[in-house]
Amino acid sequence: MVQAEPYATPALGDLGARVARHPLWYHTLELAPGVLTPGWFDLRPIVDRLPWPDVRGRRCLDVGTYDGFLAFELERRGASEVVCTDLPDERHWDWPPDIRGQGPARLAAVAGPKRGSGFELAREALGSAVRRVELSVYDLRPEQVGTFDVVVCGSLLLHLEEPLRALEAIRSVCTGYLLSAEEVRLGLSLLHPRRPLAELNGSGELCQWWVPTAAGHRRMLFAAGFGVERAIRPYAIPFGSGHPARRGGRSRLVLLGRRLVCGNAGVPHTAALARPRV
Amino acid sequence: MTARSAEVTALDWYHTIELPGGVLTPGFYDHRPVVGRLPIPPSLSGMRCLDVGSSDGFWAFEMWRRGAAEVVSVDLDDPARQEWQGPARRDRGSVASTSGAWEGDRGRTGRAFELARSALGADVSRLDLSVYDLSPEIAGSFDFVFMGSLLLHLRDPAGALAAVRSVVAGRFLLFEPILLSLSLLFPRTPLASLWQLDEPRWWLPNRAGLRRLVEAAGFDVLSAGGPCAQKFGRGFPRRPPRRTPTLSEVLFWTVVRPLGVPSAWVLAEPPGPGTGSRARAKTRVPLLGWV
Repeated sequence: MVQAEPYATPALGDLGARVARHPLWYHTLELAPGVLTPGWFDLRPIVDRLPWPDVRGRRCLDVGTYDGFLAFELERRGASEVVCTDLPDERHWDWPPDIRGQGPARLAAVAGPKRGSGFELAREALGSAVRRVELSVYDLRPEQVGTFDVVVCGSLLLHLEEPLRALEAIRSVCTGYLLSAEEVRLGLSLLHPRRPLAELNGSGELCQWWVPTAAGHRRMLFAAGFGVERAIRPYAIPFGSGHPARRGGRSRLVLLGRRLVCGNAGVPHTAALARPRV
Repeated sequence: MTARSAEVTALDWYHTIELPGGVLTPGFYDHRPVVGRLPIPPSLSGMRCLDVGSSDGFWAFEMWRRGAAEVVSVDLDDPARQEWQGPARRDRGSVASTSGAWEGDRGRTGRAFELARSALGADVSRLDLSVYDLSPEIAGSFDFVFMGSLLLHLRDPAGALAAVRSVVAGRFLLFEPILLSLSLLFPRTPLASLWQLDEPRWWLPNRAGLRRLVEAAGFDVLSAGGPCAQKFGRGFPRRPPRRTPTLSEVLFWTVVRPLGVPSAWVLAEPPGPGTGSRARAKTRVPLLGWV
């Protein structure tokens, strides 16, 4: 593994200022002692709860990486090579039709003109050797990127119009394990623990399509050709300091319920470790 | 037995179609009781019409009967091109399926359609095309498009409807099976359930889910109806082929088989000029989806 000298280069002297200048951070990342990116989501408290496979010495892929939290985590856990993918341009997202006209411009207005600049800044600050490839999840093919011992994909499927096509594309490059961590409908999961359901949105600027129940998430993996080896209890991804104030927040009772089920506040998720099935 | 009825009985049928000479095809499904309850214009005179996932062609022939200027029927000739769950069974070809999907006899659908078309003398053209590949370049655009009982067999229903949307210039009528229980429990929350067998079958939405799928493909919904029943035909067994071990199978054979498959329809059109960029607020009042 390539380990650059951390935090020593003079160019990083003004790291804090560069972090502050970056228009939008999706992930909360600790780039240097005391230098935190003000992300929308903070995966640090829950990252160790995910059902990680052993990634030491493995070739790994993080799909839909955004600022790269999970890719850097793979590297930190000892992966021999980490590739991550994301779209070069917000215009290629699966925008729902009612927002397709304005969505990309609205996102560019809050997130800055160029995707991937946050990842680049973080990669440089961390001295990371993670390689970022601009590629749609739908276009993952062994001919494009090779195959991977471990693939991770977090909070991506809900933003896709065709999540199962995406999972089958992931399967085509996955020879070992897939760690899939996705948002779930918590109440529906409790009401229907065994029934594979999903709620369809397909509307609005959050660009959300299908949010499954925990059983729905497992069955989506199975239907796309994965066998689930291990699934964990629902957890919640906490909001980071950069997350905008939410309009019309949930009632206290709901938030308390979430906290009881997930152990902390945030966006309810579930995670499963899966392997390609024959 | 006439030559035609011999030909008819030699084939398996998906649709129940009345052919001249009093011959009735022994279909899996019989849409004759429900066709009058759907908002298909009584006259399609002068219109270019499309039937997506046409199978034996019941709905295409119905549109031809209503005076359409042109009817195009689209389906896959080779059932192996259907989308199967899971990696292994897709290539096996001839596997008996409990979902009612036909995959045993390759080319059966094309032959059944052809037989019915020539018997009826129907002026309907056939395209061997996947719904995902529909585009104005390939198929042109249509004044009236019908699609029935196809979404549940598709891995990516939202993407398929977006392809359909690209060829609809006039109106679109979707008629699909729905989840009855979740339609009653969650009348306003769009939900879908994923099929749990390795078959060419995927999402089954509730009523709100079916409507939202149409909206999410960029249509304006004009009206929606159901639940109503899609009846089974003579070709569908009345009794289970083996002892029924599970509650859901008992329910199927005692309730769904005699009464029909719970279904719903949505009538929609592309947004008119000036409404295309309007972000339609989709406020929903979930009953139990609040956690």
